[in-house]
Amino acid sequence: MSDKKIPNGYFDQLPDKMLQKFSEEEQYRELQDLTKLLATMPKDNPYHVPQNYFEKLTESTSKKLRPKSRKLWILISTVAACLIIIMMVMPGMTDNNEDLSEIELLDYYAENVEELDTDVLSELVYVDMLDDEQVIDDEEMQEIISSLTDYELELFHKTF
Amino acid sequence: MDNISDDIILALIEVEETFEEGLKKLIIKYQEPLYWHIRRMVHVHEDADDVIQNTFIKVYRGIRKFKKESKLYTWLYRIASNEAITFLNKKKKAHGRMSGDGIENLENKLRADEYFDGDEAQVALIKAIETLPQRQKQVFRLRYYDEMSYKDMSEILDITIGSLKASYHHAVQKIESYLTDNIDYVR
Repeated sequence: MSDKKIPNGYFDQLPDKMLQKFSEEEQYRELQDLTKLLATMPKDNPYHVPQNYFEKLTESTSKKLRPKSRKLWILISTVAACLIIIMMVMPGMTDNNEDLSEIELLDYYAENVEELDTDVLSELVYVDMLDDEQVIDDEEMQEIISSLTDYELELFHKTF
Repeated sequence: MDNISDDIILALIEVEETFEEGLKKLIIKYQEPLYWHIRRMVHVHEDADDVIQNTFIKVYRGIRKFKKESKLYTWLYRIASNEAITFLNKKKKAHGRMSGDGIENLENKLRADEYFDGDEAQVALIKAIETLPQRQKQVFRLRYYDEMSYKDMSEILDITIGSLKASYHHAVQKIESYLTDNIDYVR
């Protein structure tokens, strides 16, 4: 066997590459059988993209999906969500309790509001991160809860 | 397309420490084919840009649950197709159903688009595809442009190979008939 160097993973990828070629060949023959017109039309792509679009897309999408501050972000969002709910549910309360700290507000909320729909929480938690259609399903909510630290969990339970 | 194998990408994604690296490699490998697949469905670059980003957000949220029962790329195409269809349905609701006039409007939109430079035949082909029922459009695009095997198409669209072949053959016949009627040099 030759000891000449070949690209890494070359033989692992060869079968898939060949299958792709066979598929293209089969597709072309099929098209020729069905219609000479389409088979002979050039398949040049008439669409274009702005310069360096794909380089920028990789960066912007990767940045958007970066998970590192997820836990902290969820905690902050949860607190923010609570505050929003308190202001919505108890409109008179904030007027009368302007000097309350956030923790006091959370305590107030925990004592006075018994249930919160998880869908409402999902919408609020992700409101800035994702578009308006995307909500957390129950399974993912469980995943999030299980990833919280004891302190975060305590705060979460105290709140909800 | 980047040469890294899907197995390596998935192995990186499985480990928390390399999750981000794996995700980035997945985006680099698949962003172009998925973008062009979406672009052929929505036509306009700005719309395709929105849809591809939503697609990757869905991928990000679902990748840990990806069971490897299908190929990674067919799973990605499925998400991209669904996102594009959802986008088009929303748009249709907002602007009213696409009628014969709608297809003519599409031509005007394409001609006015700085990121489109198709000739008469290419515009006619795009319009011909738009006259097809939704499922036939998908089948035709995957087979004709993406040159996908029926087996992979079957995974994406959840249709039997026999039905896919029949659907593609019908689509090709309708398109040929449309082109014969609408391109000057073919008539």
